[in-house]
Amino acid sequence: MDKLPLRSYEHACSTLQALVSLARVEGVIPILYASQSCVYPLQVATMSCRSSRLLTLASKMNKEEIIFGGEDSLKNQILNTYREYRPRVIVVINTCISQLIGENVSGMLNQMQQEINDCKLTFCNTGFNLPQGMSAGNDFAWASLIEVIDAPGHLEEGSIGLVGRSSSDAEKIVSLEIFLKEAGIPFFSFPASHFEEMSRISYAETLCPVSVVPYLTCVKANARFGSATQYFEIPAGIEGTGSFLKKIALLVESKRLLSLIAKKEKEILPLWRKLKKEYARLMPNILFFFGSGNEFSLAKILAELGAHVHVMTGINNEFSIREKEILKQKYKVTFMDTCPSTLGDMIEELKPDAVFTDMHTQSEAASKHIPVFYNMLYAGEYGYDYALDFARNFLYFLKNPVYKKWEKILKNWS
Amino acid sequence: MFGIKDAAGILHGPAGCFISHLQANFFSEEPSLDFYSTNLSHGDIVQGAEPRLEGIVRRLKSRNSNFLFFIISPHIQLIKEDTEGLIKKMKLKNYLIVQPPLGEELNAGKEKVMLALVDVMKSPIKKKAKSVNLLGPTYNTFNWKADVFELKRMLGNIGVSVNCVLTAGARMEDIKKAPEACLNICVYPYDCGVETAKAMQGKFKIPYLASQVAIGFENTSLWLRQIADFFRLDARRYIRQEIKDGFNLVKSALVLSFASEITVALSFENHNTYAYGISRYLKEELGMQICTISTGSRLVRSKLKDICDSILICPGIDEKKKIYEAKGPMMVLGNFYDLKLVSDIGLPNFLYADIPAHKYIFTENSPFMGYLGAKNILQLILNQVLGKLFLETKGKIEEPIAQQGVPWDVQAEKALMKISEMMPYFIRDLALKRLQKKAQDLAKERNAKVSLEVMKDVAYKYAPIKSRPGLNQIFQTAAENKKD
Repeated sequence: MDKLPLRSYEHACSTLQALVSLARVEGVIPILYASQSCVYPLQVATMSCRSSRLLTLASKMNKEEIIFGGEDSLKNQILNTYREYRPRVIVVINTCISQLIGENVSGMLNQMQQEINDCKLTFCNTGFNLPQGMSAGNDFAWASLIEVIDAPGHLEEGSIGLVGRSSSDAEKIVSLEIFLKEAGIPFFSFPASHFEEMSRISYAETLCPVSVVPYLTCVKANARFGSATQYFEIPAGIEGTGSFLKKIALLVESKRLLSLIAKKEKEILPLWRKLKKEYARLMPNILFFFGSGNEFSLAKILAELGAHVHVMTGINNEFSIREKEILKQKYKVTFMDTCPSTLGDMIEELKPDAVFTDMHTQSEAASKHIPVFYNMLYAGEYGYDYALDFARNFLYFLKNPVYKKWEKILKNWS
Repeated sequence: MFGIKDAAGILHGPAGCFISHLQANFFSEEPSLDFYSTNLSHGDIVQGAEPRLEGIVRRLKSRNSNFLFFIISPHIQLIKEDTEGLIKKMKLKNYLIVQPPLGEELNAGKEKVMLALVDVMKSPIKKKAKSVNLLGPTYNTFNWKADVFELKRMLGNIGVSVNCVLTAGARMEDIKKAPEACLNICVYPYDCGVETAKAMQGKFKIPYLASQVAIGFENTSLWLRQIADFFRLDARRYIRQEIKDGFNLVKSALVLSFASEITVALSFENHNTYAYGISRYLKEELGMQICTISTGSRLVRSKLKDICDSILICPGIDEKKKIYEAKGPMMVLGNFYDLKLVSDIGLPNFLYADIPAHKYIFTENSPFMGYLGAKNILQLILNQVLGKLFLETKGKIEEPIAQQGVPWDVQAEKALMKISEMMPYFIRDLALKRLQKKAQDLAKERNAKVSLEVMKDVAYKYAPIKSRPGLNQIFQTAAENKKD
């Protein structure tokens, strides 16, 4: 039997990820099919991630419904939601309990769809079915939307689909879109802030994922719309961004894009090299302890700068396997295969200068007097400018003497 | 003197001065001192104010005041009336004449009173074992009551008692017996008390400590250890527990990771000790960025050069406004004028920490000194900053998330990305989303695409405070790029 960690270090339940992603798309309303004990922590935890539409709609299953089925309550909630908000899509997030009692959500939605014509009904299964990958919650949520996007029957020739990780990518992949826009390359981004814009992914000829997360999304989109997926690599860091964009340029044969890349790199490389020298002097040892997928991209930025990087990740799909290889071969990143009993154990073993982890592990890592970074705050890690900005700021945080100061205080007074 | 409990004071000066002093020093509680005035008129000043003084002393005799303070206003000092001779002639027993130094600042006045009080102190027959006097807290010192409460609590925990607080909250009897303490502690050594401590050392052979400020976990521990060492007490166990508690708070999820991105402006022209202690604490133990400090002390400025490159000595309002606009601090600690500036400029967070503090209530509940003070400052700053940022980055509870099909200019998108780089990481995601939404709303309202102009209008209104100082540069560069 595999040794399991004593604590759960995953970012969160995949249901939470699905909820956050869907709740940040205009035109889409997620409904949690869950008990109150599940709804409350998810509502509270997603509050800080939502820009508006702060309240979660749910069919709060009571004990009786868990025994006899909660279909009626869910139907009511779907109808209420439809009448009140008139969304384009309602996604039922089918959680652990309803999966456990074997509710036929799919059948019920099919039946209801007959009555509701101008709103698509769909669902995704999240929770205990995705125990080792909370970011799979994003992937499953996006895949459920792909299911209800109409296939146009044709693809736009030479067009690119930029496929991201979570709803926060809707704003962040602008840093990549700018290049395609200036080069005159047709593109469609997924996710976007509005469902109508997301739906346009159906026209993209080639899907280029910018994260390791949306594997199922790409598979479903290819099957539904007839597109193809080209996994290049995560466009993070200077080399990673350059490589990603150059491959698109070659794919669509755009000299204009190549010249824009050259111009941008000429502008920022002197600054980047300066930072690299500073990192080479410090040679920081960094541990990424799980994440929402950005453990791959942030690791890439810091490794490119010359840091020693160790990554413990829970994401395991075709994209992550390929990205791992790139990170291992080109960037000398070390991936940890076995999760230790505690984060403290891993810190003791690796002696990192900084840890990227999640909020609930802050205390454990800070006790070791090393800077702790919440990986979820460093999303949107794509493109040249983010890399440069992150490299500068990370150096500042790394040099912040406050952790050493506390180590000294505790030593002096213990 | 306002903080002395069983004495009366007479302001020998115009009625207007009397009211002004009362109002300027009006906090949540009325002064402990029974305060009266000779209510001088122009005629009194010209023709001699002696009858007015004699009259009020006569009337006060029936009230059996334990001790009388005569505060001689500048008007009387200027006409060089022999007030001292007159008072002597009245054959009063317990009194003190205080002539506040003309043209000097607040702290000089405090020191002058405390020095005068040394004259009424009596040589002790017997010393009170393991006792100290706290020198410096006065009625108009911001937060004195809470600081004294906390200092007494900590001293009690290591077995040291407080004999007398000079002056706030003390009775005349305590002040007379102040020399019974074994040690004097200057609580606010960058403001006042040191001269008095030296005078008491000379007259009563009481040593004093003035080198430590009990603000922040480490400096509070050093302060306590100095006192414990003096009395040969072992405070290690107590200090260790307090430090452990402090670290448990500091290392928790909401402190260190957020604090390092918080920029703070400190405005302490009347509280140099706070300027020194709080800025060191915020910078060294919480990792916050101190973007500017205002103080009244050149000594404090020289001692803080290593933690802040913008330290001003008693700046004017315009100078302060400019620096707040240029730095965009996420939190300002200061006085009433700072509160007004913060409100005028649109900065989101403010914490009262100095006088003048009009319409502000303070009790013993919110110290800035000691271990509880360190926790309190941390809690007040972070709760406010994080709470406001949470609101600042959100739309309404039921507001639509995005507009559909509003096109963007590349230059506007580039500007948006640049603005995002100046946002703290812990709000970047939502702050960026909010800016994007606001830009879409405005473009839709104007029936246009999101242009650089639209982005500019939105950014100056909705970008998080920390990023606003850099907006001019961003839009200037963007406009130049657009021309190219």
